[in-house]
Amino acid sequence: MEDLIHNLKKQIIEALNLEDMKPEDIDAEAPLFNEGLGLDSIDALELIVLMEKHYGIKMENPNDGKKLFYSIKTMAEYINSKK
Amino acid sequence: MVYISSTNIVTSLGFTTTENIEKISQGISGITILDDKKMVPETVAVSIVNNELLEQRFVEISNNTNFTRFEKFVILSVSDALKQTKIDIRDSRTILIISTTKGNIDLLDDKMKEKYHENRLHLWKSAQITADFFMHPNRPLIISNACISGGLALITAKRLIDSGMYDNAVVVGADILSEFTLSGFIAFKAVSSQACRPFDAARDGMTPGEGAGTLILTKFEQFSTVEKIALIGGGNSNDANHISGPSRTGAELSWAINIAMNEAGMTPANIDMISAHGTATLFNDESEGKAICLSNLETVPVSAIKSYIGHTFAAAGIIETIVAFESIKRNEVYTNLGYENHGIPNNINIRKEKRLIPLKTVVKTASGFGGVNAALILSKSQEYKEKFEIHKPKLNITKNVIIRASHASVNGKNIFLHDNYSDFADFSKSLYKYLNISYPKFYKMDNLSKIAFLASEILLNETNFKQKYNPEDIAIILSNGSSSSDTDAKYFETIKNRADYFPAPSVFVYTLANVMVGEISIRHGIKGENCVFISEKFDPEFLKNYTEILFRMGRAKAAIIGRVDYDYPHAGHEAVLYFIEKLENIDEKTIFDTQNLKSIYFN
Repeated sequence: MEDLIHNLKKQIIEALNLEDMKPEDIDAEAPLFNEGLGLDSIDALELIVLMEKHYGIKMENPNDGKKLFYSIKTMAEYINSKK
Repeated sequence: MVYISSTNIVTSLGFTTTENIEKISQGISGITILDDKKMVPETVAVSIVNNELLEQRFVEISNNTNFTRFEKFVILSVSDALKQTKIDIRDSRTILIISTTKGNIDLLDDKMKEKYHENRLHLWKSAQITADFFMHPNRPLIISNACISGGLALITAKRLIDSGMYDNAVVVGADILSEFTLSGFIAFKAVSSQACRPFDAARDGMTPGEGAGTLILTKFEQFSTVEKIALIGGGNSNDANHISGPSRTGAELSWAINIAMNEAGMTPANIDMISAHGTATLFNDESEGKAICLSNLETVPVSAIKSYIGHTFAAAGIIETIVAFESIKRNEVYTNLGYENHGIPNNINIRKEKRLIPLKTVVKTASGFGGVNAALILSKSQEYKEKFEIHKPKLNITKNVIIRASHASVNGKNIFLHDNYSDFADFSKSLYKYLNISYPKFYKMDNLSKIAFLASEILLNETNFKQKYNPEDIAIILSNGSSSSDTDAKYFETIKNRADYFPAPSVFVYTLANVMVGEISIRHGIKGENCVFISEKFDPEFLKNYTEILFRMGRAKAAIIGRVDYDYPHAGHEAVLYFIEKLENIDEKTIFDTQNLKSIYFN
């Protein structure tokens, strides 16, 4: 789980161009959207691509994203549940 | 007055306005289900022009096999419209205006690269080729402003005629449906698997389409049709909210509608129909409903026709204006196909069934990526008078900024030099840091938006523009040569190989040059007139004339204008921005004229 969370942080920083940020700057339990990292709707779409590209998880219904992409931790738990 | 002289529509429904209107009037849609894994892996609904029919129609006009699909769309459409008018496209008093979002974008493909020179990907190149076909004597004007391109081209044409620059305009909008555009909108989760359903409760996305539309406009009453329908108002605004999502309040589109009504001398009571943008995405239709209500048009019958021909992008504004023109001629509000149950919070006057009602005046709306909105008014009323200040305003170049190679300068003085210049990424990052601002979104921008953003940041610094002007009173008018070609190539890389196929939405959104204007607008809260004109070279004469028109019409009290390009014409980048203001006493050295624009640009 720790490794997965660390990798996710790195992948998110790269995919979303969060320049000036390091994995340790991101709180795995903090909300990704609005407050927290301040991500927006285009970032959410990139997270859908990231899930498919790195974890082979296809998300057909973008509305599922709201819960899954709440935080890095919820993303990691979802990836684990799909293994 | 700017009258409509003749029209043409090319879509999945047919190759003339009549062929299209006959189908629409009968409630027949041209949308089909695309199941072509070579194009995109998903099964989606689209509206496509049949290739065999296209070729059949094209050989009637020319046996030159060298034209691209996009160019054939333009040539077919313009030729048919020209057949129905006495206006001569070879007359220097006629201007050809071409609007497109992606032009020859299918030429990115390796197979096409063998057949065509890489220059052909540039919008100005394909525009020149079509202009040459018609022996058009002027350089064609190219407008690329996302999904309002067509509407904005019509508004621009009206202004150029009203101001006396030209007597007639041939305005064409065209876009082809390609793997490029289709995959991008699918990655945006914006495409429905079924024919789109504007304003319906079950709507789940747009239907991508393709086609062309041509409207020939004239100041001469004798060249208008018997109904004497004219374009009598136009407005353009920016949401300054988000580069892909529409406004949350609809206030900016409403503002564009109000400005257009005001120019036309109309009140909501005069409006008989709204031809809506109605893309059938969740957010567009909702935002549009809000705008309609904010403009007090909630009782006006609404028509949305994308369920017949899909979203034809730059052609949409023109095709839908022609359909509205036909509505006025026939007094018909066409069936709103796909609309069953009301699906937006606001109560607007939309019904499924066709309505036969007397129509005199219609509002056409459009919105698009980059936060852009446009509204125009079409009417057979004859009471309209142009609102143009006769006297040219005294305009001043208050400030100018140049970013080129490794340096940035203000009013000719260097303010930043990057010593060990290695690449643009490195340079832009150090200039960003030098400016000492905190705007993490900067890193998400593409290179074109980055350079435009940095230049505008320096330009607006210490101008006090927020105290001096309302957000709607500042215009942003940019010229550009390469459109978004650098980002187009990057996006194409993400879809090129099926084995590694991950269309990137965050790259796709920047494959429109006007998104740089959206970024500047968001950053500084600027909501006024905004447009990107594409031209091979810096065109100070046109920039000056068009900016002057905006001031004379009262549409701008200040303007950010200039040229921004990345990786063009060679491997370089440049942003040359000017801040234009009205001043009583002007120094000759900074007076807003072509000579000063040139000497700053070529300093």
